[in-house]
Amino acid sequence: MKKRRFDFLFSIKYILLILTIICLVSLVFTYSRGDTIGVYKTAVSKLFSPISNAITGIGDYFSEKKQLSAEKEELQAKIEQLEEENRLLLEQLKKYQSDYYSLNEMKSLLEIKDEFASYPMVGAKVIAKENGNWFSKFTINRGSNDGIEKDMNVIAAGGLAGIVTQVGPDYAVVTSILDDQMNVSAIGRTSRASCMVMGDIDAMSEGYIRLMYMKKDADIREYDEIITSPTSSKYLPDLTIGYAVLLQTDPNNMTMSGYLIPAVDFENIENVMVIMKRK
Amino acid sequence: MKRILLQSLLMGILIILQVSILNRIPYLNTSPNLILIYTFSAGLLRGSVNGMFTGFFGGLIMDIILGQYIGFSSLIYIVIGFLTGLTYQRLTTDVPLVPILIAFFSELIYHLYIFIFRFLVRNRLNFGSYFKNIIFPEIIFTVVVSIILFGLLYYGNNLLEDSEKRSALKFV
Repeated sequence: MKKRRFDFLFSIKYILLILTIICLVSLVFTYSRGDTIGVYKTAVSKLFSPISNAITGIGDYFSEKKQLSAEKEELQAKIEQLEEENRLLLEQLKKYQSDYYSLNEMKSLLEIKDEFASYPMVGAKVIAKENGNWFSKFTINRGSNDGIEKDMNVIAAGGLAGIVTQVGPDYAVVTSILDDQMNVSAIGRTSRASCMVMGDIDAMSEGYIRLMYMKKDADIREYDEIITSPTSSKYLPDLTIGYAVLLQTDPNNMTMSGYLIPAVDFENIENVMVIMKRK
Repeated sequence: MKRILLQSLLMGILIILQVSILNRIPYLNTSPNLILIYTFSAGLLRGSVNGMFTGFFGGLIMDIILGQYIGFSSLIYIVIGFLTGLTYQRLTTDVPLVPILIAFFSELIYHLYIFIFRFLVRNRLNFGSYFKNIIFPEIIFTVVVSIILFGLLYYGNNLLEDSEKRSALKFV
């Protein structure tokens, strides 16, 4: 009697075994031949990427809401203030404001031109982000049809955002430099001292990236700009990664380590540029 | 047949919600794991076989969309579907405490699995801080969402069972 009660377990066990074996086989297969993963993603991406593309519009609405509510109070105070001022002051203000905006615009244009003009680039939109909180990846709406390849560098406003790790026909997965598995060899913009920039979950939650293996006597100060190194195997040189902070000498008394404030705002990342040149 | 169609449709909706909306909710840095909730709900309400297949396909699609290794999260979802399925018809699902506890433990198993196989093997040992910053917030959020989602699935399942019973009676 007691044996019969658990009889159903045997058929379930076989299903469990078969499904587990399927998973293990595909795990081993994708682990050993990571480059071919794109072929198997095609079918699913055909189904999901148009829908998630459309849904992203709704997601955009949410993130706009977030910004709007933060700006609301500020704007209200500003409106009251402006109403009190006379027309002359208002006109003056408008003039200053338009000057200020055009100045800012020109500044950012100049920066981009200076830094990245020598590379061919394509713009892309972020359409999905990694669901869990362990990793830091996102999907963009450009793929091999637009000429994207694995290991292409991705930049956003400010500097280096990540690197393309998987490519499908009309989408690509980008692993951001915050990710725990990322290592970028870097140098200081002014001091040229080499170091390693490593993603780290602990630092990620505070908005930082780890900076390690910098020589102890390197001439580097807080908030110095850190850029990608010419010796890096995957990253193009001279892309801004971030700004060094909290530098300390390591216990071995030979190297320094600290943190980087990333140049890119990963929280609100929406538009990125893919550099169409591999190193 | 009707059930399979409905379940795959629901899975598609949950996956799209998961990858495109839930990680953009203002003021929150974490997101609930809907696929996990759906997997253990299927196990609790329909048994091991349904739980395992739900977990298998849900995990597989998530892996294909964003994962690095296909089959990695699928594997743990299958195990969770299987384990919760063992309580099928042995554990009452009428009390809200049951899905809450199950949600808590399946999230814990899921995160331990990721920690061990993706972080511990690379000598990242700082479990305390991972727990504080990643695991704990996600568990809380998932448990809260699971109360709502499980409730909906529970009533949906009851409706479906009723209509299945009625159509079975017609043949008698």
